[in-house]
Amino acid sequence: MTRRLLQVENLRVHFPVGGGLFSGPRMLKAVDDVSFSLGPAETLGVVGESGCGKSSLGRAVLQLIPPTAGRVIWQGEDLCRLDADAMNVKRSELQLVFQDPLASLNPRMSVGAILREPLYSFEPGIARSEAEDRAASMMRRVGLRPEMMNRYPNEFSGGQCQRISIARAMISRPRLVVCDEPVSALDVSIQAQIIALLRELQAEYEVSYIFISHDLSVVRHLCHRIMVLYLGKLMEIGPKREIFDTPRHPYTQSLLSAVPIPDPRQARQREQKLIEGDLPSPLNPPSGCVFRTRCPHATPLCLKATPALESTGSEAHQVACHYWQDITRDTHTEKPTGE
Amino acid sequence: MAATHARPGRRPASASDQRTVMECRDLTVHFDTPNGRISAVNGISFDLQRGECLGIVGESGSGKSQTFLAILGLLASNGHASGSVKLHGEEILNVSRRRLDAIRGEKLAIVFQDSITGLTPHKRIGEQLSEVLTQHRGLGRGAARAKVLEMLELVRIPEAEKRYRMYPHEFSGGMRQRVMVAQALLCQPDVLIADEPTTALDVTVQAQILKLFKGLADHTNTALVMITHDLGVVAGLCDEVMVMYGGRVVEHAPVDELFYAPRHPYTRGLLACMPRADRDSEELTAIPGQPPDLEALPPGCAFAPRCPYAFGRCELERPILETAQPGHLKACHLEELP
Ligand SMILES: Nc1ncnc2c1ncn2[C@@H]1O[C@H](COP(=O)(O)OP(=O)(O)OP(=O)(O)O)[C@@H](O)[C@H]1O
Ligand SMILES: Nc1ncnc2c1ncn2[C@@H]1O[C@H](COP(=O)(O)OP(=O)(O)O)[C@@H](O)[C@H]1O
Ligand code: SF4
Ligand code: SF4
Ligand SMILES: [Mg+2]
Ligand SMILES: [Mg+2]
Repeated sequence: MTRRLLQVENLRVHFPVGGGLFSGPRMLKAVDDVSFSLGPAETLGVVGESGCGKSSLGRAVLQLIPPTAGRVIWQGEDLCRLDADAMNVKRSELQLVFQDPLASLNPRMSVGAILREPLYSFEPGIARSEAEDRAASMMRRVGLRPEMMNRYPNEFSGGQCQRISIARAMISRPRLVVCDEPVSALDVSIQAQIIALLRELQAEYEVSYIFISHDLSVVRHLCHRIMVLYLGKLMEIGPKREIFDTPRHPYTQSLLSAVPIPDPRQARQREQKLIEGDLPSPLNPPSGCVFRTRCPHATPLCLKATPALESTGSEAHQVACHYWQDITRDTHTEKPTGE
Repeated sequence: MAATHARPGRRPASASDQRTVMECRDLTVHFDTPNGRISAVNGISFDLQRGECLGIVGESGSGKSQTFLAILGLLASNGHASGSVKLHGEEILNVSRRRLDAIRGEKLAIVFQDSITGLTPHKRIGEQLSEVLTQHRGLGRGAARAKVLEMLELVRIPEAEKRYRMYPHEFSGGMRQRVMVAQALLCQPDVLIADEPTTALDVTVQAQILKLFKGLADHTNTALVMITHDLGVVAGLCDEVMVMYGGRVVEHAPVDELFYAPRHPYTRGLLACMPRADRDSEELTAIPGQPPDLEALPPGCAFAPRCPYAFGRCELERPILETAQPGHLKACHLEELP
């Protein structure tokens, strides 16, 4: 078992929303009772449809939004209990990279200033010349020419801005970076460059990633373990290979089945198990198993009882479905060779 | 020459060929801006057959959308199109607004990425959709309503009767996109142009919409143009694919050939840099550099600054789109890829 860097226990993020004249606000459960751990230099992928709570989870781990309940244990210390000053000290170890590269950079600061800022705030006594040197070498490290230091974000392309965001996140030598859809806004050819950069930096700095993405192809390529969320709840979590080769949860199965495959023969042959319908409103999630309104295997039990997260045999692979064993057996009798 | 090439693969098209719905020849689009003239689309030619699905792939800014906006007469006011586009033999490029409106109602339809822009916010869905029929097809209200309900059911809008009276904002993104598809299909267009119709949607919903398009291709004669940056979408849906780069077509081939025997370095590069969900990908080979800046295109091959095979001639002379083998066109100075 890997040494645990981060241990998240029963995390909840509930937002009060609405609330009219005669009714109090209702609670939107963006993240509901999610637990997981993360080791050093490990990448955990977080996948699921829009609104399932991926960003809320990432932000709550970093304490950028206050968790409603639960514990976020970082190297033995519960971050939820730290006061603002103590938390700020920790921030050098815990960084975030956003989806929209341009919007996440201050348009009035030069790239050099953007990169030096974290150094000044985390290493208050640092000499200007050292900060400049480190900013320059970080620029080089992410594939930008240090001569571009005096330019402003709007003079860079989307891919270059994402390199700057990554440089800014990495310059304080964090142990964990939450990457929230860092390549989703980029062109395919640029995506591959950024993915390669993230991998190299991980190998070099032993940084861990929580990699949030709706793109399962990218996740398969980059992550060691994967967590599948649906309406704020953890459906399945496990090693990458098991999630992709033997997904146990009906939702994971249909997500994988829906991903387009860039291979015409495969695409023609494959039998897709698509789920019908749309995501239910997160304000009014289904009772019992939240996936039941779209699940082809749902029974009356699923309407009443919320399935608990169970281990599937290998301890690291867990699934929340009453019938995962039956479903596994069925899929195996249908397709004995498993393709 | 691009302007005169016959459609790859199948028999040469002519206006009398019943199967050919659209012939586009040497379509060029430029924009006048304060910084000068931008060539967004250069000399695009293709034919569309009944029931065929043509995929258009390329990175953002490669000219995919402007090509088809020009065909639909929907360019921004600083945009100008030239060349020729014939629909059933009738020239439709740069014709009068009135004629275009009529054509768009009857024969050509488009579905955009952002379904909300295609729908009027303050009008009930049913009203908006049936208007298309009462105005363009002269149907009575009852008949129009029946047809709209039929279409909403076809695109699998649950409880169509109830939804008929709802407003666009009361629909989810995926449902709105399906409504847009229903609207586009109402008049049984000869050509349906879908511009990144699933880019903003979740994979689960994307798969539903793509299945809908697939069924459309199999069950009607509507020709489909699928504009996308995602080669995965193309693989499962299209018969033919055009790859665009810097405002030009760099490769045009039947879908299997494009994927299994690409003839252009850019196409090969795109395929090599895509991770896949169905198997472990080896190291991805990223394409170095950035997509070209249309305001500063190099004189030779636009891909030369990023091409691993570029040689002396590439920087001086622009390769033209020519037949590499029957039905397969490419614009590259190399005879064969190494
Ligand atoms: N500040 C907030 N107030 C109220 N609701 C919120 C707030 N932030 C997020 N939500 C809701 O919480 C749920 C989860 O949102 P979140 O942004 O975490 O989803 P996501 O999985 O990151 O989605 P996407 O893929 O679209 O980025 C959504 O229903 C969202 O509308
Ligand atoms: N109104 C306009 N004025 C100037 N340039 C434009 C205008 N509209 C589009 N362009 C440019 O035309 C090029 C092609 O755009 P487009 O066809 O929309 O690309 P895509 O392949 O992403 O669909 C882009 O570089 C874009 O910036
Ligand atoms: S618990 Fe029931 S509804 Fe939920 S995933 Fe399993 S079978 Fe489907
Ligand atoms: S013409 Fe030259 S630069 Fe362009 S794609 Fe072919 S080999 Fe590469
Ligand atoms: Mg998000
Ligand atoms: Mg476009």
